[in-house]
Amino acid sequence: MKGAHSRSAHAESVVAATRESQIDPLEAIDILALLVLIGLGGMAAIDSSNGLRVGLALAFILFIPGWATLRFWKSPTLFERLALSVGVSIAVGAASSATALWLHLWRPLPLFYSMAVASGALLAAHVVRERKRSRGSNR
Amino acid sequence: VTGSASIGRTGSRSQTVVATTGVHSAPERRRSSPLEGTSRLFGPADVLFLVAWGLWIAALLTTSIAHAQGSWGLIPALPWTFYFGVSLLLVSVAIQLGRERLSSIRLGLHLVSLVFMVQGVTPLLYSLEPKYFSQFKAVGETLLISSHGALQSSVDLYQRWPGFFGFTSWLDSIAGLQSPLSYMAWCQVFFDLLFAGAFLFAIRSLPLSPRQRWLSVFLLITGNWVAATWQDTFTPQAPAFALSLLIVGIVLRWLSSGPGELKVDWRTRKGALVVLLLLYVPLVFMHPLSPYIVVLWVVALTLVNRVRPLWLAPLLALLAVGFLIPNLSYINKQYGISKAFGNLENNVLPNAPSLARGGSFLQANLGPNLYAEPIIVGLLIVLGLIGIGIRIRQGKGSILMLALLMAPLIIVLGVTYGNEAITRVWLFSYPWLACFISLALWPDPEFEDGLPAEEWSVLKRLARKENEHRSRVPQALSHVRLVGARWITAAVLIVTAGLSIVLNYSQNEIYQVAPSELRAAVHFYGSAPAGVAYYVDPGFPLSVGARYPSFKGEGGGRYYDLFLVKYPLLELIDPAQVMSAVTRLVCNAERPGSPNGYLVLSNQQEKYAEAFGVFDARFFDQMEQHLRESPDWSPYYLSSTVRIYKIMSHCRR
Repeated sequence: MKGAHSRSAHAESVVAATRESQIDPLEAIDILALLVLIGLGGMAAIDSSNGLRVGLALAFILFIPGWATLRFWKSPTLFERLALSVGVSIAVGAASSATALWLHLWRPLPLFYSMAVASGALLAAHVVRERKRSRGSNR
Repeated sequence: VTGSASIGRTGSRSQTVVATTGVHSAPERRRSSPLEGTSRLFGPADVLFLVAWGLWIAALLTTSIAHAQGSWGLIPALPWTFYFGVSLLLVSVAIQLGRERLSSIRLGLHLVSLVFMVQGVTPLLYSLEPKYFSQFKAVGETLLISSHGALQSSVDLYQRWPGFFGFTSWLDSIAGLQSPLSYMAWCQVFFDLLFAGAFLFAIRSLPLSPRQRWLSVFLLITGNWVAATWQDTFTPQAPAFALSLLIVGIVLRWLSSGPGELKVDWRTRKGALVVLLLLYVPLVFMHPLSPYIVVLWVVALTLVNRVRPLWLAPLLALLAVGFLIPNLSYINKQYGISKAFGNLENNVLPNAPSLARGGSFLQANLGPNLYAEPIIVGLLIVLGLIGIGIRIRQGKGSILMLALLMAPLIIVLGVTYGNEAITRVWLFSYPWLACFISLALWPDPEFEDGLPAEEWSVLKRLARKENEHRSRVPQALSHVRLVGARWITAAVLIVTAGLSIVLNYSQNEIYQVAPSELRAAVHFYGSAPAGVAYYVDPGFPLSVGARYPSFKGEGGGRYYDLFLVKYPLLELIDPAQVMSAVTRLVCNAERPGSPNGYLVLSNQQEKYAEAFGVFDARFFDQMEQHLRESPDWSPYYLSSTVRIYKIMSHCRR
């Protein structure tokens, strides 16, 4: 009986270790998004103009705010999440820029930094929360 | 795994499965697609795919745009390898659709390839210059925001619906770009991919099999180029269309409560409502028409008992109307929408004078397009009707897709939309017509009804066992039908894509702006003293600069386009008379505080005027001769492709 119990505990720990070593695609995208934010923020700060900045800017404006917003909604599948992230990013970008224009507060780069900080905070909070949760469930 | 199953010919969910594994919660059941997945085998379709790409690359390397002339535009300039390559790709699509286990990755790659192979040709061959001069107005709107940091609502309608232009101006700032000119040539590739993704999302909850869903998306892409001049270029309509499809997808996926729908808990529905509003609110100030189409769709879905909460449609309508009211008097003054309301006869009229000269209802057409467009539209409508018939005969729910298909028709009762109402109806109705076409091409009666993979495999095993005891004849018939479906699908995709290519590429010569003309326009809008500018016709990159309002007349509200706006001029036969009338027009143009007036002539305008039968080349030359000799005009900008003349000050009031 005791032997069976220890075998079961061993199996559980192996499963947990395997689960830890597997890369969750959602979390991988979170981390990639954070890297994009850092890279683009740095390039914008030093006013570097090149193809990489254009690529990062497109990745940000077409994906990251939506991805960060939808991260806390559990229901969508990965494909649904990706499709909605693009739509929500475009919508959030359009809404925030139009609002800034109507309020006579058009400062595009500060608007970008505030959006980047908000998106980064949401993503980081989610990554930390998921890490804590998975550690808790492993124990 | 234990389980039992009954296999119905119609394959409806209620008939097919008594579930087996017990491991799937309701949302998971919907997520896993029975026939979707990845297959590691390298099949004949994969070879076709690679050959198609090889042919396409070879074609582009040997194409010279110098041969792209006349009413057939780019079509004769492209070698046979291009057409053969695209056709092979579409045959490969049909083979992929016929595989026992669908590969989402392969189909996705085919979709991206199709869009790139067709829409990537123009930016690659024409040195990244944007197609369609109508897009340049949007560049001016973006630059106006970038340079002034504020909206000028008196300038035009776009400044009152600033969602898209604020977004593009913001993108330019973040990316460190000077203007959208550096990326807008690729808009058609980007937006077509966006439409494909949004549509694939939207139809996930419709009663279609995975094969039919993928086929619908391919049909959307091949058939949607019918009116592509407006919808996938650098204009607010493009993102608005994608957002509209996503909103419908959310409604169908999480907010529907019709019979047979999976239960969704209130927490999930709340999340869906929040995301829906996140998409809808910016849509309201991004594009004037799209929010109303969304309202019509949601109302239609509510009427067929699909949408909860019931207050959703009224809320969306309230948001759209709430934004419209402060802008109503402006729109009414500029576009006379109160006259259009209920004026069905006028609202369905085509838009440009070209259409009045024998063009079709959907797009300003010339040459081969006059034949290509009715053929493709007729073919798609007939196939769609067959699909509707099949669905009705099967007794399966088609009311949902019919509601979405028919709802946009209502707009022709209310608006003329610059005499583009019919075009917009086609744009918003066609996706749902594509769903019915997929039913006609691939009836797919069995199994594929959103079952989890495990249930699908159990069903298949049972079916195989059952078939072992049956006659071989039904199996053979089924095989013949599958092969037939493949080839018919391939043929329809090739025909629709071929006609779409004719529609798009034949116009390149008329709509493509030469780099030298674009440079001239940028220079003119950037440095010319303010004054009212006239154009022979729209074949010029109008307003491609932040100062474009300084060159408009009547309080900045109108472009002066002799061809489109001043019809009486077209009735004059003598070039001298035309120039004298033009001189009077410019001299008397009302533009308070501005002493200058310009007339812009360019090679592209000449091509445009000649193509539409307004002036021939000789008439154009004679007009310019009078202009050069006139004491009222002096040359302001002269190049080999663009001539801009300035009115002498003594003439102006």
